[in-house]
Amino acid sequence: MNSTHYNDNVFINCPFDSDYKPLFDAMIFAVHDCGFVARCALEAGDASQVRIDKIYNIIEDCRYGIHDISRTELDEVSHLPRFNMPLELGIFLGAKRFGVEKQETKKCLVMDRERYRYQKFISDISGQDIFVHNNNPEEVVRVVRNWLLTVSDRQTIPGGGIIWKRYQSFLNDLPQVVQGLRLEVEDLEYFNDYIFAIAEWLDLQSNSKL
Amino acid sequence: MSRQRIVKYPPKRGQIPRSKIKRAVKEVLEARGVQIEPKRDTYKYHLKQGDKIIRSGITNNLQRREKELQRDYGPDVYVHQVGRRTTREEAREWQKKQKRRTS
Repeated sequence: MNSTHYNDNVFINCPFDSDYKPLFDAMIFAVHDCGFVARCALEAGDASQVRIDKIYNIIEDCRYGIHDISRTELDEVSHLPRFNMPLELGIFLGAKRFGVEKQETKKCLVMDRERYRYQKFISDISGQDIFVHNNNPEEVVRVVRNWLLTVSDRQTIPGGGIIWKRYQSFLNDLPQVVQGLRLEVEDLEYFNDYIFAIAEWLDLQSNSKL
Repeated sequence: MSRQRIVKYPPKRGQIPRSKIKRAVKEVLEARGVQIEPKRDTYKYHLKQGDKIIRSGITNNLQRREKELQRDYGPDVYVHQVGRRTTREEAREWQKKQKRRTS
């Protein structure tokens, strides 16, 4: 896949469970408000495609990657660790290391819930800057925004406080938007529809007379 | 700070038509009193061959339109932008006037 939007695409590698959803939703909004497009394994695709192939394709298509390893922990039922996030981080780092041409320009952000926790289970990435969000959505917005500003050097990225205020405003509008679609907020779980709603909301807001 | 950049291309299709989502978002913002200005994203152009105007039209992508027209009219035609970018509605009005003049 050769996307013409490689420089706009941000691969999101994080848990997709309900506990993480407030952080996930805030992260997706921040990525779009900064002028990028969030991509992740939840997006619609070919149902016959093997999941790992889908992940390879998305990673290949993204210059940026946000990896949240905060939920790398033992599952309550199976007592086995959840390794999907470290695996996808490894694939991303591998693509950057061994990929050619634009793949070498990949940039990644690694986040965890506590500063040095990662050293206990993935110490090989010591030396990289690991950012901490303390399970706080506002902190996620700030970390993602600051990182995108640093690595992309784009002058069009708004301040973290502005993004957070806009996100609160979007969250207030969202129930009415889905009502207009004759749906419930929970029905907008589908990733593509959610990012379309964000993109349209941001676009119309940017054309508003304030 | 420069004007904010919002990327809108859809990675893939969603379950709900995008136009429907846009309409629903617009209704909510307008109900909240947000005045949305129409976008000035449409170019007016003359298609020329030398100095002769062959036809007039509007587009939101001049380069793409020039390539399309060169396929239809031959490689020596070119697109000449008229004025500044404007809203779709204003551009359509201009196009109607051009048609009246030439007919």
